[in-house]
Amino acid sequence: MKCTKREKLFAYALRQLEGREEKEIRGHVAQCDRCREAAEQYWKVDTVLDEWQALEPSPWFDARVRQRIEATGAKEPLRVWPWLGGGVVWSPVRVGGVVVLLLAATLAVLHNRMPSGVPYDEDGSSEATYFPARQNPAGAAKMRSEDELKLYENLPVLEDYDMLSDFDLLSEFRKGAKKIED
Amino acid sequence: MATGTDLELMLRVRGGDAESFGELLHRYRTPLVSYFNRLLRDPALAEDLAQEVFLRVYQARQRYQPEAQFSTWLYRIATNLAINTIRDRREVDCRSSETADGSEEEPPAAKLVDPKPSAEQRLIETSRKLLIRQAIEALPENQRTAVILHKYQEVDYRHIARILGVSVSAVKSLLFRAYETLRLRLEPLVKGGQL
Repeated sequence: MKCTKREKLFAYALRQLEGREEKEIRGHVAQCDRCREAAEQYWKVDTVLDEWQALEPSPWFDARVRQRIEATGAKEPLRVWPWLGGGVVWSPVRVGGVVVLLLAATLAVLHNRMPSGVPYDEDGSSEATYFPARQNPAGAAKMRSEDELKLYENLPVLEDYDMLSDFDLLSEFRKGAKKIED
Repeated sequence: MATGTDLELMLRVRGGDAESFGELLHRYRTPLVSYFNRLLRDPALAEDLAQEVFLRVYQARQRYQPEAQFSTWLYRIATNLAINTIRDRREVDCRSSETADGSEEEPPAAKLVDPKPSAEQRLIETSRKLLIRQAIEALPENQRTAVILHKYQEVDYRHIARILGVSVSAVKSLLFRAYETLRLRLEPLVKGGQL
């Protein structure tokens, strides 16, 4: 076998050759002094380089990494509803976005369910509002007529705090007013 | 302590698992600090940059895609940081070499730190280690990085190629030329003698 190129001897010395190629070079090196010496030189350089040992990190290395992470505000994402979305991570931004969307949808539904007309008081005053108890507390006591009950039948009752606070009015419902439909 | 391959750990970090991040920190802090120290010859800066790598890994965790081996990705971040640091230093050296009349002196050879260690450093380091350090330092940037990645960080040729953005045959060539140079520079040590 002809003398091997130095690149091959280098690869052999650094154990980068495999299989048949490695076997061939190994056989040649065993018989060729010149190639053996060249391979040994590379092997010795590699061994000498081992003397430059690793630098150990300081004992506070991990703590410093954590401080830097906290300083940039890169906090742990919220593990909210892990079953939702499979592997999706719910970051605070995502959660906030979903909450805003839900609120907007709720407000839109509420707005659409409000009747278009504004009822008037019995005396026809323009101060009558959809929520007479809120706008005209003094007049709330007057409103005990059947018409007023019909007015409230279509309201989303549980969402009208003024109605709920007026327990007298609620008692009228319990006496057999129509069931409020959604 | 979290267990698993680097990839498994990093995927858990992507999901917000702090313990897995701690395990990756444990596995790679020494190799990274050593890597930077060998490239830059500045232990304090080496620690600072190694911490920066982990910070970037954490910040990029949700975008992590397992297209490459985790260590390859890690060393690519580290190598880019090191190269930027070296080039920043080179610019500072060039700017500071201007003479009083405004003309520019011959820029110094690319150096990472002062090649002449102080007397205190000579006392600390043995002469053999000094020779090894200087020999590696004197290598061209790509050869030096390839030697450090292969020899000290135990990265294989294929991943070195990805880190450096070159072909595998280019990596083999870089290492061969580096070792040819080191063989000559480290001759007193290679021939088995003491300095």
